[in-house]
Amino acid sequence: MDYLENSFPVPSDYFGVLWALAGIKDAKVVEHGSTGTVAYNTVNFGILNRLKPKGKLFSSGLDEDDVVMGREEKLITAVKEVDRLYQPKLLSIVATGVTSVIGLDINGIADELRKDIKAKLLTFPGGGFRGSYRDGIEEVFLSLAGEVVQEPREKHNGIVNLLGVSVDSFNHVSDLQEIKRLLGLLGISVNTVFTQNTELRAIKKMSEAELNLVVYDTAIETARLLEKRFGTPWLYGMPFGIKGTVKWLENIAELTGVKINRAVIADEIKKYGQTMGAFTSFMKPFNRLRIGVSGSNEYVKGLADFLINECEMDVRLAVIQASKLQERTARELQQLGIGKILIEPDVNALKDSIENNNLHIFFGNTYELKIAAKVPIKIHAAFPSFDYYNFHDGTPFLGFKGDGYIIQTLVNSVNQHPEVWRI
Amino acid sequence: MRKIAIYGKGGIGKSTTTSNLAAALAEKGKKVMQIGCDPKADSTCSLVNGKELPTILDVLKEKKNNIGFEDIVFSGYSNILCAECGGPTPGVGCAGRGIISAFEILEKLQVFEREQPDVVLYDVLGDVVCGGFAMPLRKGYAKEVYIVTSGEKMSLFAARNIAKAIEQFKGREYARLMGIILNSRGVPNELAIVERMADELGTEVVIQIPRDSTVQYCEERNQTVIEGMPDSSLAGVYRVLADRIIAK
Repeated sequence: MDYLENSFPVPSDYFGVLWALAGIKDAKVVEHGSTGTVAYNTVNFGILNRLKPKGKLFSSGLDEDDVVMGREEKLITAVKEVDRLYQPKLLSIVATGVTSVIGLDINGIADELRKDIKAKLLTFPGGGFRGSYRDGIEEVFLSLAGEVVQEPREKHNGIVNLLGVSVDSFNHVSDLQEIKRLLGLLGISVNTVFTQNTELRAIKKMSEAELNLVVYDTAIETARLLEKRFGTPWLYGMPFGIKGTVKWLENIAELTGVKINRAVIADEIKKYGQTMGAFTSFMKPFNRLRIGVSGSNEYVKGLADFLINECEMDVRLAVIQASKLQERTARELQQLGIGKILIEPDVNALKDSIENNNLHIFFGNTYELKIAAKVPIKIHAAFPSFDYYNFHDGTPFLGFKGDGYIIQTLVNSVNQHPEVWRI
Repeated sequence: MRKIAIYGKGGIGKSTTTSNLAAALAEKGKKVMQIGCDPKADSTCSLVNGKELPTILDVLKEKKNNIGFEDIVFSGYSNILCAECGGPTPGVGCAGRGIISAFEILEKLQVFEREQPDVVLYDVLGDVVCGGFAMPLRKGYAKEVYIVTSGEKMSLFAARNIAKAIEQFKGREYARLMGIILNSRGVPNELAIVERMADELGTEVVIQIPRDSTVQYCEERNQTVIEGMPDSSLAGVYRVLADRIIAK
């Protein structure tokens, strides 16, 4: 792996923990490490979709003496002070690499602290050694589902939770807006997006929802845990394209017993649905354009399916993340007829595949789009996207609106790059 | 499930005592697991006929996240489950962190839940020199600690240090010091010396293991005394130790 060129080694579980906690509004984080890492992470939060949680992260101010002597006092003081000054509902102690190496007993310290503070206290002692950021996100989700979600007072029909979205999820502002709008068409509302723009009160009540919709696979184990604890059924997947969205709505309707109003769906398709066919001519045969897609497993699968089966385009390359579902996702992509599938490749493998497939269009993250410099049309579709803003809620990839937005983006991009017809 | 950590000064006979205790417990029908927490990875040697087991940390390095139970836990004498944490070569790395990483793997694989041993024995290197070596004392791991010592001054000093570490975590309801195992070295008035220290520490001497060349004889053959010389008086002493620990 050429990290120097890639500039993007996969972030550790430590980052995932911070990102998953970032979206809980009434939560604070005390990081047990030197002040520099908090300073870095404040910048880091800003980079992620330009959504900067203010006053979220605090440092215990660990120094060399604390490391050598294994002192705990600064952490204890910091936790008590944040609890007293800000009265957060949830407080998390996050270990850093140094405190994990010296084996500081974060869990034991927290056990002693619980009687002295008002906030619910969680600990994340991994410190960057437990795997990738995906493992860190999963750890937070499981911890919240196991320790924070309470027994239901009553079950509510027509209420669901959206699981798996965190501050690093690409384009989540628009995509969540569209998902909520789609659910509204079924008369269903969302209790919480777990964990983005949410609060502890809603997380505690997750057990009262009728259904858990898993958006990203980092929340599958959490959905299983909630099913085990409260019997809540769950559905995994993202609604891409017209067909994909209708199927997604039908699945939800089946699980909740809601009847789909077909007239409303028809109206939606009429309003937002587009087809590449409307823009295709003998001068502009879109279906001949060669496409590569990289990103989260859900985005790659959904986009590829949409481009192949609904837009009749030629997806040649798919790049997915290393995850528990990687084999299954790769098989599904193969079944779509995609010739080249890579799982978290290094720079050279990615570069070679992009060049060998002579792509016209590539969907990916900021670094991959740099690697794909020679591809005429480069579209941001994955985390991280440092040079592309996604804070506006009108650019969904998902749902009926997403169908229109993706097709509009493709057509406009091709019009701006007429050279694609000569390659 | 009883989870017991055996601590003591380096070279005092922890592994010998632990392995013989494991064998004696197994002989009594208990399902036993022994986890070596020493970078030398020789704790379970006499339970697996001298074989060098792949350590958890070596397997972790090689297989990353694809580690299976069978890669790190091995069946030894009398079906005792054997695992070695392993660690860095002397002079490099961080052995304490190694123990933390190895324990995280055991937890991830839910080894105890899967095998449901009656007794888990942690054989832990020397002093509790850093957080990593205190791992077996923490919540979810050992509930009971026994310190192996002789009447020698440095061994007693190490025993007191270990007791201090246990005392430090007292408020967190971690492992408790359950007793001292005296592994005799022929020091004059040895039992009295060790009993005095046990008294100071608020505990007791559970057993006095006599100095006996039977240990060396069996170790030469890569066996515990229980396996190699089952009718010896020393084997009887280990059986008494097992009975006393079960009775506690």
